[in-house]
Amino acid sequence: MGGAKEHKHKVLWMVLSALLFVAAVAAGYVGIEVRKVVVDENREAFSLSQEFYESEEGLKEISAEEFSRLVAEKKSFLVLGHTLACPMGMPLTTLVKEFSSNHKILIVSLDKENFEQAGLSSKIKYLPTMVIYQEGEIVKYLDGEKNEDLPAYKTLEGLENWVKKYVKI
Amino acid sequence: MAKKMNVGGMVIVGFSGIILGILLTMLFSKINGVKDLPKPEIAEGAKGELKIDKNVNENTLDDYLFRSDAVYRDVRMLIDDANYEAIGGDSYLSGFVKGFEVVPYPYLTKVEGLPEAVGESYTGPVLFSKNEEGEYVANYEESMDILEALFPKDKVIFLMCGGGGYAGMTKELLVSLGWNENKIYNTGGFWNYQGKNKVQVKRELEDGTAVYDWWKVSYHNIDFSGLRAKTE
Repeated sequence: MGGAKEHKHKVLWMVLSALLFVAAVAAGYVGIEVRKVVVDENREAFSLSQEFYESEEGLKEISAEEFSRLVAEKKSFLVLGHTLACPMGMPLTTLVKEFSSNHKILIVSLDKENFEQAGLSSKIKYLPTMVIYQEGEIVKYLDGEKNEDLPAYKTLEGLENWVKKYVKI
Repeated sequence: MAKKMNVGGMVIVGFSGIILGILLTMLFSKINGVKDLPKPEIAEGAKGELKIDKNVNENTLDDYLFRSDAVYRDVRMLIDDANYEAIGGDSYLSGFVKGFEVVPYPYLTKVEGLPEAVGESYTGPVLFSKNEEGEYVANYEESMDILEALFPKDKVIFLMCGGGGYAGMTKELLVSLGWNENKIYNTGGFWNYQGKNKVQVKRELEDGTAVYDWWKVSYHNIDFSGLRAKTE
């Protein structure tokens, strides 16, 4: 009798495990996405890789392949992700150009197609955006759906304040 | 010991039932293809500045296409008079989302608020103008009939443009003229669309020249020459 009950218990655990497995697969099927970017808001500002400072290049359009090389080489850099600009939209691209010029920081730029090919659109849903990389990992990005990031989209001062929280300028 | 095992068994069965119920619900809605429409709600952040919807937008639009209770309107011009290229935009309707029909917002009312670098959009006749009180008034006897034909009040209305700006202004126009704001969605811009229903209009020839397959576009033209101007 004890054996029969133990067997029943084992069967129930197996059913539960199977259901949990199916739930995990179904979550992927219906597109429930878990963003993997983990941000430590208390981290100290860090330096970009040396080649991105003291640059006259400003904003540099790159391909997804070039971007992947930067990540593979564990560089620390800033990325502008952009699409076509709406005249009623946020002037982020213009602000980033000005920021880059004022501080002589080389900022790489990915258009929508290359942004998607680089695999970034699975994490970051809205363009334009700015993404901060440290040693090949995303530290922070501007989220077009968050009020807290709105100042960085709207004014140069807002953008500078946002960048300086994470990066030494 | 026996009682502990029975309670444990019951917990497992209960939990399994909950998971099974959730899975079946998710699977059923996916098979049916009809997703419930959430109430229109403006997104936060930069998207919210363009009054793009929080839930029904460029990222989720594919879940709401091809509904029989809805109309889909892309409110760009085929070729806008404004120089959007000056700010990194596109004056051409280079592509659109399947199911959307084009009704140019600049034909509905005068476009305002464009950056100086872009210049002016279309400046010809429009169906409605703003009076001194900021209210929209019809310029033609037929203005309201045309608007109601293009944006039926008994349908859910999905709006889209390039970036979300024209779509937001179209919703504002419709609501101010009596449309139900809870039946209109600003789904944002084609330029941010991430779904699987893109229709490409622009293509490049071998020599790099850009050409546009306008025949792909369902376009609602308005011929103002045949309309009767309203008199005061």
